[in-house]
Amino acid sequence: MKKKILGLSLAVVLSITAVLTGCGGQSASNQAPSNSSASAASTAGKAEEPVTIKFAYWASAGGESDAFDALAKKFQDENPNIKLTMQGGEFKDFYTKLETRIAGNDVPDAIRIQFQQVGRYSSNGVLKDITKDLPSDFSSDFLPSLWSAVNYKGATYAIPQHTDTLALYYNKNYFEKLGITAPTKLEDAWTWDQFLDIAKQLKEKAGAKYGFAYNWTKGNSYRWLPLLYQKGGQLLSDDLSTSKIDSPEALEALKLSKRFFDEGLVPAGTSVKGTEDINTLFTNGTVGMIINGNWLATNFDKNMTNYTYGVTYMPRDKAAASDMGGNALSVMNKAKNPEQALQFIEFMTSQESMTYFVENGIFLPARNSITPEKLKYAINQPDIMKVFMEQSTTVPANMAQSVTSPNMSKITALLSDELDMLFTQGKDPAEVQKALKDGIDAALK
Amino acid sequence: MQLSSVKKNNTRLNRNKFLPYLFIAPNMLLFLTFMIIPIIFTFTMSFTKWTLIGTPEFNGISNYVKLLSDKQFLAAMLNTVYYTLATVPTTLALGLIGAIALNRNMPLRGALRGIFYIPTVVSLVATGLIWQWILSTDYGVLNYVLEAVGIGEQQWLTSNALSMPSVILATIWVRCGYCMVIYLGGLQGISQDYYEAAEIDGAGDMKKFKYITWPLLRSTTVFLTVMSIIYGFMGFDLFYTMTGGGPGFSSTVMVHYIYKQAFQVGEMGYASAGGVVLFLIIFILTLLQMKGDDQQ
Repeated sequence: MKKKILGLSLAVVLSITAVLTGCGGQSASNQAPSNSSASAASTAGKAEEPVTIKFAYWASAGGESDAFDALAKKFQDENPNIKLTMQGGEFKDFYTKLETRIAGNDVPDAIRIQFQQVGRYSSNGVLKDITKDLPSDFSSDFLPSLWSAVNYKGATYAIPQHTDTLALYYNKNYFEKLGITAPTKLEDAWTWDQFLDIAKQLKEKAGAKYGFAYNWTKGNSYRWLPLLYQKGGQLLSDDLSTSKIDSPEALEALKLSKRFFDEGLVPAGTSVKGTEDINTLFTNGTVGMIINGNWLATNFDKNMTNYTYGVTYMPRDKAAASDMGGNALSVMNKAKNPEQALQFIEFMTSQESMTYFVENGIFLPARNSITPEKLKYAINQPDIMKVFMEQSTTVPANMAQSVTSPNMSKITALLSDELDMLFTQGKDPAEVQKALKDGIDAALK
Repeated sequence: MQLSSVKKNNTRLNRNKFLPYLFIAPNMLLFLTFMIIPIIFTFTMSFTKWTLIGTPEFNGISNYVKLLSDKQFLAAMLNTVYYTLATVPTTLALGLIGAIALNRNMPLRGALRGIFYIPTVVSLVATGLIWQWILSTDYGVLNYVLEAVGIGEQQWLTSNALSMPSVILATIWVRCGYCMVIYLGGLQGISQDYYEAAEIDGAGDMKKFKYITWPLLRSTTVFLTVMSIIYGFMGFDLFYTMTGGGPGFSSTVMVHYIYKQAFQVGEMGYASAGGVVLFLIIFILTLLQMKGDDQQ
């Protein structure tokens, strides 16, 4: 009897340990390094106690991270009465961390946030409504699509910090071999048929193993959406209440992207769930072209040693369209010092700070007043940034609103599953379309 | 005089009864905070609709009803069983072979033991990335070698047939060393007298293994089987970094699916229900193992 009880309890303990080390360990190990308590302790006891604000963000190493540090230092020097605590880290699991902190009531004062997530976090009351705290003409200088992305139901919840977009990087050496010149004007951008033909030539004649790669790998399925809008389709209805994915245009877009894989123009490992390092495939010449974002220019400058690259516009169809990437800064609803937090995010998005930030992080500015001529990007071919800037004007308004709607993360997860089935499992495009329609409508309920 | 000595013994006995609890107290406290309480919380949350932010809404057993008809979850369960069945016997067998080999007197024994154990200590995410680099279709070392010897390129991580075996291969690499070390401990616990006696009776190596080593390692084998099955059901990191659960759902396992529901889709309640199902499976398996061990 005793042995039985012992065995039973041992079994309980073992299985509990198993479940928890698996599920719990993940988030625990990724906790943000919190210096807040230490810094608070060091400032305590002084005569004039500064107000502490905590800023949670992510930054990749290099220019982006350095720019954050430099701007933080500047803010700190200008505002000695505010003690700024920078809580940085990697992008991976940023939201998991954030939500865990919210659930545990350890809320930062300000955060960095993707445009795609603004809707979700405004609708559930995490972000502070700052409409009344901003000057009435504050929005006039920001790009309209980005400003609409930080607004939810008529109220403003964030300030755009920068934007990113996708364009087409190509291998110049391969193009020279084939005698192809890339379009230099947005109006002249290739159609998908022209583009796929070039992809085929790269594979057959230029020495590339595959035509191209698209950066929707590792679950970034929302980057498929430009194809949908280029065909003239749209993801959600204009009031964002129902899915519009059941259109003939959407079916066209699904069929088009399936062709990439069926015809072997892209490596199989670059499907939506793929884990291949697509940037390496481009820098080592395995693929002749890559649809990817402006922020990769430094990577390619450094790693593409055997070839040179150029940048041209995304292929188009009925319309031109590209991805709306980029981030905004928000004050949290439960911020302890919302006033100072707002002061900080206004500082970070000022014309001067934004210029510094985009130049160093190789991003695109979110303000109209920062024109291409004013920017000095520290990359080998600064001119390519003009292509990205022009391309960013093609972000469709409906797409900007759709991707920032509160349920976008659910839709992205669904898109990842279904597109991967389409690309790798030979699922019928019409069936994929039906699954998407049903799934998105369910997510919107 | 006799009485007092009995009394003395009693107090020592009482003190000894109390002392062990004191020693395990810090551990139990942590265990309670980070294990017991969260698991009770998970059980509670599995009956709610919750998105981590906001208040959970009670919705009865509907998460469980949905889970049972969720084809992706069922597929993930089958994949998990496949993964576990493939990794447990292989890692145990290789671990045992390694342990027997390294239990002999041979040069560099210590160094070799260390080398075989190293993969166990490396972070699983790093391991996943290393294997991703080895097995990548287009820039992987393995395909480069296969191409050179004329076998040709294989779609290790990008075909339905090979994605799971690829992760299994990486798992074997990680787990062999662990099994080897535990088996080494077991082997060293077997008295040499048995072998000497068997030799006098004329037993060969195979007979010695069959009638002495293997039976006497039984409790070690049971322990390793239980631990490895649990490990198999908990598989996540390698899948996450090597295949992303794809292509399609060919390498989506339970923990990965639960993770996706919790942190990508944002359905905490539903994910908790998945966690509870996983808990129950591991609980029952562990129970069966221990019962089987008792009966022998």
